[in-house]
Amino acid sequence: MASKIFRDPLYNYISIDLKRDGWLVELLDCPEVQRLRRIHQLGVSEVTYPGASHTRFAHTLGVLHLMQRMHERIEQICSEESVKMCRARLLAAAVLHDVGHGPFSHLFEPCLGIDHEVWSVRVIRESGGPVHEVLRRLDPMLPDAVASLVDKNDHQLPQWQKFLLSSQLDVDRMDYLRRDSLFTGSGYGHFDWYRLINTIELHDGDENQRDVVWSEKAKFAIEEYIFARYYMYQNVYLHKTTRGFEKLLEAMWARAKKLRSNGDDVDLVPAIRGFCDAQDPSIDQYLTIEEYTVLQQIQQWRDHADGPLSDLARRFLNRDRFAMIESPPSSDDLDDGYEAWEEALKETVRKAGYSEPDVYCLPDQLKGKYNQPYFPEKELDEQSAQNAIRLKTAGESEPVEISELLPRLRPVTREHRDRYRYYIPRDIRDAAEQLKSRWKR
Amino acid sequence: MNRLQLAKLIEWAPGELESRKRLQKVVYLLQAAGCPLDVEYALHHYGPYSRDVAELTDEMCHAGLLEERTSPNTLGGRTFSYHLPEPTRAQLRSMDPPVDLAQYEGLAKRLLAEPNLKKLEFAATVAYFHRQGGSWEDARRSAAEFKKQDAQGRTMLEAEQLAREVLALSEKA
Repeated sequence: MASKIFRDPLYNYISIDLKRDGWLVELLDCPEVQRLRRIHQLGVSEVTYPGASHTRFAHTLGVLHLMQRMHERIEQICSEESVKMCRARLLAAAVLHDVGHGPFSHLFEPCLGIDHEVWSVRVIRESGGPVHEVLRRLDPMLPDAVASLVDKNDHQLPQWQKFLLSSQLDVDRMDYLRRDSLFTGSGYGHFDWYRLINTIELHDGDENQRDVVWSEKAKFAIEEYIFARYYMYQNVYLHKTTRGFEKLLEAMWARAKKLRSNGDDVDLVPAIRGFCDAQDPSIDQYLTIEEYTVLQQIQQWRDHADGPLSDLARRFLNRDRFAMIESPPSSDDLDDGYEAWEEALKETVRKAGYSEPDVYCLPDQLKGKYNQPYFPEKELDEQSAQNAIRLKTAGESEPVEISELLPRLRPVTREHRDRYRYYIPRDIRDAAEQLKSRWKR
Repeated sequence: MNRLQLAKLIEWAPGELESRKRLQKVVYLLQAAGCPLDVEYALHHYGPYSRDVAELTDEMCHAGLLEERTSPNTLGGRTFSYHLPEPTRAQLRSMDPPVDLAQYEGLAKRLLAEPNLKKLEFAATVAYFHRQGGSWEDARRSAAEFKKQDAQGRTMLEAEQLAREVLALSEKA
């Protein structure tokens, strides 16, 4: 039987049966999907982990592979016709869930003021667009169904289908944790994904109310997954150097916006100018902005007349990083004290001769929800796969949340303090550390 | 939403604030009424749900600013209730009240005291669908379909009425 094979470092063979699923190859060949080959999965993490040069396209293939396996499992445990019927939409959603990502993945979204999910949905719904046409040729209803799965605000389809793609334990996370671990070389992020796929269950209710849960025998694989997620956040996603360059890029863009709103010429490259000037940018205008475009823009800004803008551009290109300082621990009072600390730090920056604290004192609030691997809702009456990983256990009519079953997980699932970091020029690190040592909440 | 705002809400609850679900839906409805709490919500299985609210609640318990009590519920799980310990009350008395919240005190107290928790859940869900666009009739039907309820059922109709009153406040503001 003819197959299209992709060699992949995580799964070795990712295979598409051409007779059954030739349309998937057409979908992958669409320009909007091929563009994902030119978007780094981990944004600027390369500045910290030189091996992290893998792309959204490789991740997309991984998610497709896992969704194929996941659907096979669901067919084994539920023989309803509706399960068979949803296969195409699940596989298409796996391919297209990230199609709206902009340059450097998530990190550039605040710069352009966009949400990649909104653009993913637009690409899928755009009548006449290559992606839309491939889906429509297979089934005229398919573009709407796929858009519904990808759009977090759309609730027309049974929720369990959305949960396979987006929930506390989904095919997206299962792929990116392991893939990012491999390419960063960080050594974390391992878990028994095969066990997770083959122990998934659908929990009661009718088609529309079903929840995604796991059988009890998955508990150790889930424990591994939770720790993998925790370690990857601590060591890779929230790495201080990576976050520093993310904040620097955001500050650079904010500076350019400010100059532009004051009437200054910020020498925008044509693709970015077209997007920024448009009242309602078209899909083409959006998709034309790639990492190459952004890098070209930054190169131009390196020689800009505005001192802070050219300085930030130079720092970004030369990996001339800011120093990171953590704020003192928050107080246990109703006023957590961060505002006063930030003001004092900005004053230190000003006194050191940096007249623009918005450019040279960059706050990075790491919300507790990003600090921890998994933060389950405690109340059963508010739980679903969106906020809890739950298992069917003998003797219980309702599934049990994993940290209730394995209380040893609680120290990491219930650690929830926000952390505030600040990025400042390295020559004032000592002054900032002195301020911190004297600081009393 | 900050610690002071959440503490004030808990103070306004009659006795104690019973159930995390109530807190989730009250904050959602207050925000829908125009109260600037700056909380991110997504539609979950049981209506609008915010991880920010859940997290802030637990963070304040961890800091000793809130006290949590659990009691068994009919589903076989636990219901979580919250009240302010005396030191937090003392702090509240010594601080300026949160200005943003003041004009919503009446609505907050009414929602916090609403005896029918299902009505709050449905009202938040109807308000969510209405804010997505469409008529009130459509919003109630969508909510009823989402919650597997009779769109003409009494609680659902009352929920729509409550959602209408809440959103009317945001239009006035």
